[in-house]
Amino acid sequence: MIDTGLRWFAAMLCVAGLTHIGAVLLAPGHSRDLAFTGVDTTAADGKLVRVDDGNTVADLDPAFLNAICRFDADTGPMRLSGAMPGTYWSIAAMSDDGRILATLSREDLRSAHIDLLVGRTAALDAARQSAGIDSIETMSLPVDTGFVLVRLFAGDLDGRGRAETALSGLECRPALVD
Amino acid sequence: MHPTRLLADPVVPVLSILRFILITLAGILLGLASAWWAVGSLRFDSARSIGQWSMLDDGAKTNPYEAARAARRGGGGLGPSEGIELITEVDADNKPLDAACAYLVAGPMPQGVLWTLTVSDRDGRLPRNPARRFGFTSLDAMTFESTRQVRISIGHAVRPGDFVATSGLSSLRLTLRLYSPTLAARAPSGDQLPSVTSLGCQEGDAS
Repeated sequence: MIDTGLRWFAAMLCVAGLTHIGAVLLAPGHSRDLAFTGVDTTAADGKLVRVDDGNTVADLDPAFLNAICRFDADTGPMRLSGAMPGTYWSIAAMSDDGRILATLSREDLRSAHIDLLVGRTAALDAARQSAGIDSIETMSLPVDTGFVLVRLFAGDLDGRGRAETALSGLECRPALVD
Repeated sequence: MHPTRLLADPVVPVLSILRFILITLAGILLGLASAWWAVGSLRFDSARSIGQWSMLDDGAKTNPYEAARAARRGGGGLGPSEGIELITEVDADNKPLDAACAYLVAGPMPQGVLWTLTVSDRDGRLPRNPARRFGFTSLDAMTFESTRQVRISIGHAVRPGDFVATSGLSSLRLTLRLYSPTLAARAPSGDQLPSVTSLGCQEGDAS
């Protein structure tokens, strides 16, 4: 007869194994509230919302000023426009769970002024026509909802000042005009 | 029926139920703890290693441990046109970094590239220090010799030169971010990156 204690131990290992597998597989789907979805963007009024270790657990570079702008099915594509600083910057479109879908950095643009449409591929043409613009940078995404993350290098005092000035001048608004 | 059996019979199921609950709870706790440890450990990653550094990629994951790790980081990683992200949680002797110890990050950095070195715990929490100094960048780190080598010390006790205090950290991770779109396709080799060596765990008698 197998010792009863051994059977209980085997049962415990089975439960532990199933819990381990379940926890690892379910973690990505249940961690989305930990990315940027907890950041309040409702009062942004066309501006980007700063994110740092105070309002997100996302692993961001503290040498940068990071800010986000949310887009979803209600807002449609977003239009990000403004002057970028002379220091390094980049823009990433991310899904709700923090997965990067598209990126753009200073090397990709010739101008210091950015005018960018971000949204689902099918909605971008409508947004372009609605805004009456022919030539504009676009980020075509496979999703309706997510975030635009802007990173501006602010590793020294001068850089921080320039990044803060640039960030305050950036606008992120729904591209579809009512 | 014997009178004692009448008394004993109801107790047996109660004990079995209690044992079942205890075993189930212990199993769940063990499973969660092992999952937490495995997700936090780099040894289950298929990430590319460059010397003691591991290259992170927050893109699509086929390895469930990497997917869970990326989710636990909460996003914010770099895309391919932004640059690459390297982390290490071990020193040059392959011993886990200990927040109670002091370390020296020394050696070359890729040239002509904006880089940042960040000190945090394994969950990405930054150290608490009044200067809000969490690391160094290619613009503010001192460099030596023609190869522009860096020497950045990390620990609790202040050291001369470039120094990052690790106050408030219970574990230690170093993240080196290299901002250049070309690096995603052509990552630097191990001898182009600095190494992390221990300066001792007794802050007073570090070498």
